This record gives sequence, C-alpha cells and structure tokens, in this order.
Amino acid sequence: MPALATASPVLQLSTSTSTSSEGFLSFSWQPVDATPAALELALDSGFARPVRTVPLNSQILEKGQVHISGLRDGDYVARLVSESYEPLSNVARFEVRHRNLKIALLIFAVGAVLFAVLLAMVFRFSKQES
Amino acid sequence: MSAGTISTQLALILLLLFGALWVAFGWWLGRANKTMDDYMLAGRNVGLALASATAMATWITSNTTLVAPQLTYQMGVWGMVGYSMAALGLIMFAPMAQRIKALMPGGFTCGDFIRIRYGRIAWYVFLVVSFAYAIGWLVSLGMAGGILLESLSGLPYHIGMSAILFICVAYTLMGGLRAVIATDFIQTLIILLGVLFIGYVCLTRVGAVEIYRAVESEQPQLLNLLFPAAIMFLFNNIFFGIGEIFHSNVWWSRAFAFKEGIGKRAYLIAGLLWVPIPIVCGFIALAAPAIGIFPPSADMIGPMVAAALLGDVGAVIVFIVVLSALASSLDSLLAATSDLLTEDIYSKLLFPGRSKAHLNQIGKFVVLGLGIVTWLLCLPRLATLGELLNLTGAFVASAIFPIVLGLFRPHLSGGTAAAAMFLGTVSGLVAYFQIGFYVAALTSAAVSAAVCCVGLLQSSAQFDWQKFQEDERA
Repeated sequence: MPALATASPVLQLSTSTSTSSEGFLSFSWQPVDATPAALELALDSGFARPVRTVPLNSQILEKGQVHISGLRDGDYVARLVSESYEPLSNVARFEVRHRNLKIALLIFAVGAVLFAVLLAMVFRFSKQES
Repeated sequence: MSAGTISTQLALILLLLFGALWVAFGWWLGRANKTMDDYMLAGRNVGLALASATAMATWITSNTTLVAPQLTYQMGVWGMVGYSMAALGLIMFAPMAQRIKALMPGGFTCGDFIRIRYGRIAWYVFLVVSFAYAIGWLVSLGMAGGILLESLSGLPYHIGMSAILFICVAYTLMGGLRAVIATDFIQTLIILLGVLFIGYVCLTRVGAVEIYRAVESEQPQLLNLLFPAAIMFLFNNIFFGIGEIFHSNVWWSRAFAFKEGIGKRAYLIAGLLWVPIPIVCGFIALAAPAIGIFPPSADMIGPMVAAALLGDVGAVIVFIVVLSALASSLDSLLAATSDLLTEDIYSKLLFPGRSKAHLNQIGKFVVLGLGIVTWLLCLPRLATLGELLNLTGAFVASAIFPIVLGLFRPHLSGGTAAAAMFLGTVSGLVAYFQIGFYVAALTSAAVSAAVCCVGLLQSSAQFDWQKFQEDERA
C-alpha cells in the first residue's frame, strides 16, 4: 500500500525518545475524533515496506499511547493510519542504536566475577560458622 | 468493556470481598497479640510451612506478576531469566538467616544490627538506603494496585490504588506480622495455582512454536542472546534482588520471627519454589505478538495478555492472583518498615528509653502514617513500575558486601561500611541516569565491594561479637 502524503495531519504523533538504546519506546498522541486503526513503522520514509504494523486496541486508543519493543538498529519512521491505511498523523522519526556489545559483555563479565566472589563468601563464611 | 477485562462493578465486588476477608482474618489473628514481640515478630515462633510460604509470597510481588512480563517484553529472554535469578537472593539469604538468629536471638530490625556492628555513621547511611528502598517499593506496589485495576476493569487508577492500600493497611494494623504471615500462606496458594493455570493456558492455546515464530517476526531483538542492554541487565537484576533481600527489614524481621533452626530451610525452600514464577509470568508476555496484543505502557503487558487469553473468567483469575501478590508484599513491607521506623527512628534515635508497650502502640500509628505517605506518593503516577523499582537498586546493592562481611567477619570497620554504602549508592545513581536502569545495582555493588576491599586491606579493626548480647541485655 503506497503512502499518502498528509497536508494537515489530524493527529500529532510523538515518541518518548528520539534515540532508543534498548529497542523499546512509547508513542503517544492526543485522542481526538479521528480513530486510527494501526501504527505503522518503517525504515523508509515512503512506508513502502513497513517493518511492523501495530493494531491499536481500545485500551491503546483510550490512552492515546502504545509501547513497542524488540526493534533492531535502524532509522525508523512511524505514523498512525486508518483501517484503509490512510495516514492520519504526522511522520515521527526516531533511531534505534543498541549499546556497544563489547562494553555490554565487559559489564556482564564484571557482574559474573562479582557474583562468584559473593557466592563464595556467603557459603564459605556460613560453613565456617556452622 | 474491552475484551478480556472485567466490569468495574465486578472488580469492586472482588476487591470488597477479598478486602473484607483479609481484614477480618487480620483482626481475628490480631486478638492473640499481647506484646511487642507478638505484634512485630509473630511471637518469634513461626514454623517451617508458614515460614516458607511467607518468604515465597512476599518475594512474589505485584512486581513479579507485572514487572517480570514488562522486562520480558522489553529485554526478551534475558529479561525473563534475569528476573527469575532474583531467587538467588532468597537462596543466599538462607545461611545468613541462621547467622542472624544466632547472633541476635532477641533482635528486632536490621537497623539494630548495623548500629551495633558498625556504629552510628554507618547506621545513618544504612537508614537512608533502607528507607529509600522501602518507600520506592511501597510506591511501586501502590502504583501496581492502581494499574492492575485500571487495566483489568477500567476502574480509575487513583480509586484502585487507594482501595488496595486501605485494605493492606487495615489488616496489617489489626494483626501485625502474625496476620501478614498467615494471609501470605493463603495468598501463596492462590498465586501458585493461578500463575500455573495461566501459563498452562498460554502454552496450550497459543503454543510454543507459534509464540517463537511471532516474536522472531515482530520483535526479533527479544530472542537475541547478544542483546546488549539485556546482557547488562542480567547480573544487575541478580545484584538488585540480592541487595533487596540482604538489607531489607522485611527479610530480617522474618529471620527473627522464625523458630530456631527454621530460617535456613525456609529461605532455601522459598527460593527454589520461586524460580519458575517469573519464567511463567515472563513467558506470558512473549505471547503478546502471537495474539496481536500491544500495551499502552510496558507494565500493562502481563495482565492484558492473560486477560485476552483467558477471556472474562480468566480476567477474574488474573485479577485475584495479582491482587494476592500485591497484598502479600504490601503488608510485609508495611509491617517491616514500620518496625524499622518504630525501633530505629522512634525508639533509638528520637525517644530512647520508652517502654515496649508504648512502642507497640507507636508501631500501629506508624503503619497508618506509612500508608498515608505511600498513598500521597502514589497519587502522581510519575514513572513506570520497572523504572521506579530499578532506581532503588542503586541504593540496596551498596549494602550487600558490608552486610555479608559484617555478619561473618570482625575486620570491616564502621567507617568503611558507611563509605561503601554511600559511594556505592552515588555511583549506582550516576550509572542509572547516565547509562540506564539496567546497570544501577551492578555498579553500586561493584563500587561498594571495591571500597570494602580497600578498607579490609588497611583495617586493623576487630569487632567484639559480645556487643550483640550486651545490647540485648541493655
């Protein structure tokens, strides 16, 4: 479904962050008369191949927000669409850049060593006491 | 009414029914309370079955039933496994509970231990750490109550939060720790049966293969075992859980309350039985994409998926399970924090020398006051449950090494323990705000351990264990 340009979007879509380091973020908009049916996410601004189409249930519509997770690295665009995929909002832009894996593994290793030390301490000390 | 949710009217009826049941039970059990030991520590005579159940039920919080799915939804497989590793806190506390009972058979709070073992400066730092955590946990529990009722019944957040706080304050006030432990036993049975039923339905109705395919297609990062933030989260959550248990009066008061020789076995059993609970709760969240559920906020994913899977009857089960989990932790925290406020702040810091009968009365006012403060802090829904809870990780993890070394070894000085807790907390908070919630506890524990290590190398301190007996006699 080709994307249609919106001269004056009905809904103002915004994101909780412009850069997500964890692959999750929230989208929000002010609930008005127009009722979107889905949130479209894509890596291209034309929405030619949406990477995700999120159906909006009544609880999401009532609150005017939705939380998305599990996204891979990339520069994303998002918009609200009607049941017939007519755009109903502006296009919100955000990027997902996961944290450096080497640093993450280093922190993991620090945690593992510290945990091993603590475990050894607790059980050695308690064994000596008993 | 949305699909899978219950009507506001039914939610209110369930709330009133369970509320009345627990308050009446609390009142009935409270009649046996004659002394401060009875009210604060259930007569120091709790047996293995009740001891294991209360330890397990308290650790299965609304955070387990709401935040475990949230973290799985956000951090994937590592989020689920990482949360379940919080059981290590209970397992590792088992030998410590035995040591605590042996060192302080007549003790009341963990604050007593820190004050006697490390002196006043470390005690002040510890009280800040402990109250920051207690308030954070209380507020997260109160918020969870509001979120639960709102997501499952449409009842406004403020009304649901107020009702749950009122019920828990009422029965804790009437029955003290005796009521808390007895209600925990019943709540454990409800939680276990309910969670297992929901997990079973999720597995049979959606299927493991379908869940895997949907997550792989819709949220691929959740299955990535090299998901950087989730890798960092794993040990962070382990240290957070350990810090919560090692430092908190919730667990120390139980160590004092259990019969001689019971604590070690009770905490071990509770820890082992607890491990699968977050796995089941987290697994439910992974089913979200397979059934087309996306939440307005991350902490609503668990109830939404369960309610959608189980329909109207299931929504009732979910409601009762989470309500029980919520109450089992809220009551414990109210009782333990009021003990800490009464014993450490009122009796030891502000008005020393007051009689035990007087302190018993003050303890009840403190429970009430604590409930009101929690209610006020819950009114503005400032953060998601996960964010709020993990902020406290920076505080509690700083106390892990000073407590272990203080319990078993005489060499760590009070100055080093105070510095370890202070610097650990500050660095944990810096990590929380500069990097993310998933490194706060680990950073705090690492810095605290380093300070303890330096302190031990330079210390010639030699603590006299007899001081515990002398303080109890005084």
